[in-house]
Amino acid sequence: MNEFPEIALSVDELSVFYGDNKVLEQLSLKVLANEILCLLGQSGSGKTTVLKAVAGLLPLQYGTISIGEEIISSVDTVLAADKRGIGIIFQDYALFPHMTVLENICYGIKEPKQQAELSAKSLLELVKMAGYDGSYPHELSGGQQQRIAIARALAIEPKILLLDEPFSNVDHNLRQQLMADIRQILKARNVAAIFVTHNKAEAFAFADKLAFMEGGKIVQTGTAEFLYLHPCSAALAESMGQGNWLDVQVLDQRRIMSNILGEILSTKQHGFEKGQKCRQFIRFNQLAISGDDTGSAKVIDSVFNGENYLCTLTINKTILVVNLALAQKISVGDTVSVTVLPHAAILFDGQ
Amino acid sequence: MQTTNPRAWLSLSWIVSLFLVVPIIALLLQSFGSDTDLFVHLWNTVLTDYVINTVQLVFLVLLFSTIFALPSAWLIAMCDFKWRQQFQWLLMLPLAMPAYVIAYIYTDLLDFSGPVQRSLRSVFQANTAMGEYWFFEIRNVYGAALMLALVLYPYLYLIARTSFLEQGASLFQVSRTLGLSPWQSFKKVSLPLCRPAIVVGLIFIGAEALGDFATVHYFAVNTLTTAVYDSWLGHGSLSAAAKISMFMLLSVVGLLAIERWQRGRQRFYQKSTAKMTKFKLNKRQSLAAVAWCLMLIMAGFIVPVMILVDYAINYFAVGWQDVLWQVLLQSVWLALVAAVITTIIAVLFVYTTRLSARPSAHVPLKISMMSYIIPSTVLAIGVLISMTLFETSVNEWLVSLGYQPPGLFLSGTIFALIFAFVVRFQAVANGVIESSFLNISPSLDMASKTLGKSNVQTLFSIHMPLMKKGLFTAVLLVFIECMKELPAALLLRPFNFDTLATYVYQFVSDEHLEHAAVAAILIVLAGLIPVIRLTQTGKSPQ
Repeated sequence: MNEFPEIALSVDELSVFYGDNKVLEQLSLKVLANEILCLLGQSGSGKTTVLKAVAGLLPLQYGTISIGEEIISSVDTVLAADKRGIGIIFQDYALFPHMTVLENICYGIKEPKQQAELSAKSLLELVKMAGYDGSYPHELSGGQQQRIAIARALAIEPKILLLDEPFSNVDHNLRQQLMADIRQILKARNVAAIFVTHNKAEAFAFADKLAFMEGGKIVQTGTAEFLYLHPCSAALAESMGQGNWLDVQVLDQRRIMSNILGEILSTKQHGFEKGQKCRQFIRFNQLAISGDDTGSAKVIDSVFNGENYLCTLTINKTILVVNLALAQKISVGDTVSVTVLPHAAILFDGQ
Repeated sequence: MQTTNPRAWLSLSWIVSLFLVVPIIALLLQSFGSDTDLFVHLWNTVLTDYVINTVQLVFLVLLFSTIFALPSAWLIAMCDFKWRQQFQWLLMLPLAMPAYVIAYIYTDLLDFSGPVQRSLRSVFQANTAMGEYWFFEIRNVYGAALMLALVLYPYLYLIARTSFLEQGASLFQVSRTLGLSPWQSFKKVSLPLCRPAIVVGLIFIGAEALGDFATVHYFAVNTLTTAVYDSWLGHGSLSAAAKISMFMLLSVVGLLAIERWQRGRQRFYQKSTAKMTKFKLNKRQSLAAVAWCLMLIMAGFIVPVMILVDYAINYFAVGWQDVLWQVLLQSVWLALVAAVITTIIAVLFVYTTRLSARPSAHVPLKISMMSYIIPSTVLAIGVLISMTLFETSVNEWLVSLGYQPPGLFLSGTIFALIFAFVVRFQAVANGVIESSFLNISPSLDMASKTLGKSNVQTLFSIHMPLMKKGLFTAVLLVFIECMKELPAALLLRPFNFDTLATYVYQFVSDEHLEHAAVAAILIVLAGLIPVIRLTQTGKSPQ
């Protein structure tokens, strides 16, 4: 057994410019064999550009991209997109509208027609679309079209599959099932994948590992849970889940002082200097409230969000938002006290 | 092999586009040549008058076209009245009518011996001789401008109507809620927003008027085009023709530049989906609107067609000749070859811009787009000069090697004619092909490439099948433009070679259009095809 996991794709110090506009700057990432990596980030952060560069659809200005040991993109040599064997799935599915489902899937297969059709049919079964051979793309629903797109991309037996916001046009109710199915197919076929989204729920459900992009760079890579608990940038913290920003001062490695919530304990050492002024991010579900006539906070609004209530409070003219369980009965106008639930503090420089 | 860096396509596009600008470059070079005696002579004698006539003609054509087109466009786009749906496309019919044909017909109609004056005389029981009473004269610059405007206004109408419709309702409604009357809102909001579209239409019409030879020649109005024809066909001086052509070209470019500069940093992009509730016209207004539209259609299309049909019936024996068949066949063949070449080049140019995001990839397309504003007389002179220069150097080179010089192997052949047509109508094909390509999602290209297909394979297996209709439309539109094109054909056609247009024109200038009425009707019918197509694509989705 190999001691180190096999690397399917590595991108090293990749820079891409559109004219004078730097879209990607010195970006590096690695995808292990059979791993699904999610590139998460807001629109304009450069996610799709990474995919296009990996697929060989645009030139790069600096860095290298390699599959296994082989360099497929560098400043001097670019292996053409049609020679890479990288599959790609688009947001709009990109099925050829003038071809049937079967013709679409056969398009990239370099085998005699009969054999190609046999392979295509087994792929149709794999994506649970058997029997749709003769249909045209416009006769299918969004989710079905995406399944065909997956089958077509898998037909060239790619080592790596790139997925660009693949679920954003699929009906919400079908999305979970489609994601689970595709994830299972990728795992069963041993295909590594890079998956781009701005939706954290999709990232959590589909990927093994997340890489968060900001301004053309990857700012942090890790499991979903790790990024949620220990985000290294404010934008990342916010996109992993909603929360409140508080101005605080560090007392010691575990204690922080907030002038509205008092002393806050961190379950882990946060690494900031004593006396330093910071901004602390506390998620809605890391706060709890209870009815208390002597409390310092007042409930000014309460909205049902489907699973629980989001309560808006004021303390000393500061606004805080708190998650409230359905069972807990608190009304607008009540006076309450706020407690911080035990968690590892998320702190950032400056106020 | 590099897919992301499609050098081969880029180079090919550049080479082809350089070929397309050769006539203009040749024109430029030639016009800087030393003054010939002829040019000096023209300059000292008639050229000032010609310039005045030309300016007058272009100005009047633009004025009349605006008067015809803008009210119609506004009525159709903003108002609701009887037969609006029908008028919407009927107003485009005059587009199919060559100006020199209606010039002939109206002269015939309004002459001293024509039916209008004859019936007037009989009504008033006057047995007067010619010149003893006043009747307006049509064979002057006003008449020529009127004839040209009658068949050119649909370009402006079409473009202005689309622009009015695209503005949507919201801006106009905002203006109304801010306290402006409908008329003020039109003047201050709708019209300024249409300005870029209107200017495009006017520049195009201006270039057409500037390049017209047949109509002004028939009316004996001497313009710069006359001077170009005289210099070349009469005196054989390409140099003088080049100088005058260059002057014409510069004036079009100058107008464009003034407009750009004046527009400055204003931007007019506005797409609104809010539907305009059309103004409901009352009975009297409705009647006026119908009368206005009807008048334009009658004058620009129905009356001339009726007279042509009348000619054709009365002179059928003379009109239907074997030579007509031959002319028709060679016209069709010529136009078809030019149309196919033009479309292939358009695919090359547009596909290149799709393959490469670099600014340099767009240059060939942009350059070839400009051809449409070059008056065709000017272009024809450019083609002549470039061919002659090429032939002269080839001949000299062969002679220096001791061979027999081949003589004029390009100019005066069908090749010159096809080349001129391709350059002249490249913009038409480009426009159609560009919009066809835009309808194809770029992710299809990427999908095809990542599935292992090259650019060429992708073009043939994905793009071509998906834009069959666009390819057909492009070929058809260019084909018809070539069938109608007269000034370039007159200057470049081989000896004893006629296209349908030059054939008809020959009879017009010999005062015997009656004998070529069948041929004229064929041109009108061919011209109707794109009009019908425009009505299909331009229909509001109701």
